[in-house]
Amino acid sequence: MTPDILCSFPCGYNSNFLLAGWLKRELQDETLEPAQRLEMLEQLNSLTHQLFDEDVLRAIEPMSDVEYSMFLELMKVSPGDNKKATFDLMRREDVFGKFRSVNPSYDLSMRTRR
Amino acid sequence: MNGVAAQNPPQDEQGNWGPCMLALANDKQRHFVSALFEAPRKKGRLIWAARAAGYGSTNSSNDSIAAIASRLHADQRIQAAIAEESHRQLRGLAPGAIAALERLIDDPAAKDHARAIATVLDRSDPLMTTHTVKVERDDRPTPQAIDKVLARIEALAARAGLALPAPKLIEGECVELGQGRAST
Repeated sequence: MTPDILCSFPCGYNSNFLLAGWLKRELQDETLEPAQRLEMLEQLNSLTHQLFDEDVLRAIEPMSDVEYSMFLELMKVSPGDNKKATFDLMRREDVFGKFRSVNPSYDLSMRTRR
Repeated sequence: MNGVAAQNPPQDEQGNWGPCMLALANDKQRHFVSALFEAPRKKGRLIWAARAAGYGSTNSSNDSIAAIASRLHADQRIQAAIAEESHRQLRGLAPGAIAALERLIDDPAAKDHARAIATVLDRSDPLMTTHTVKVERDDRPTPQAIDKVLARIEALAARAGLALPAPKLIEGECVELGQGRAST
């Protein structure tokens, strides 16, 4: 990723990309009840905020199996309700960079803001 | 009537005041309430009761007594005491009413003989009625609610650029049940 793209999104938005990819993957589950699906879609759409707008959200692809397993490992860092440690890791560019390498749609979605 | 009556209310009543009568400020007020029930005529009853309770003097005009009586009568505590005394007096009439009822029952020629019998029977062996109320509650979502949820899902999915899996098709025959509901 080029530095200009990185600079366009503060690291606080990293979690939005990952959560969007994760929710989109979960929403592919055919066994979801309509109520669960609606709740997850509401969560997904609530991620949009200022820089992270609809165009960015639309461009993000669901997590692949590899990325999903990486995401689950990241969630294990803080197993309780308090996910601060996990979110702190998501903000780190070396951690987020690994997710970007397996899901190029993050970079593509950032380009929609240029 | 003069102030003497208020200073010496009937001894037999003193021990029988109810809580509302006891809550009044003084015996004068209590006597005013009890005098309301002893007034000889309906017209001028308030003035008569106020004078009987000892308000004003022998020289006081009816107008001035009426003003005092009206103020007393409007007082909430006096009103509560009047209500309490009314119930007490009403209960006191029961023996007389029963005696009159007995006379009606004993007289087959009396106009209200049959009504008197019915009244007694109604109270001694009242008719029993049973009401069965069946409450049915249906928490199933209406077709309109389902459509609304599905439309919202569609809109949110489109906004997020998501291609959702197609809904599962259920094979079956549709039977109309009425009230806008359908079953397979």
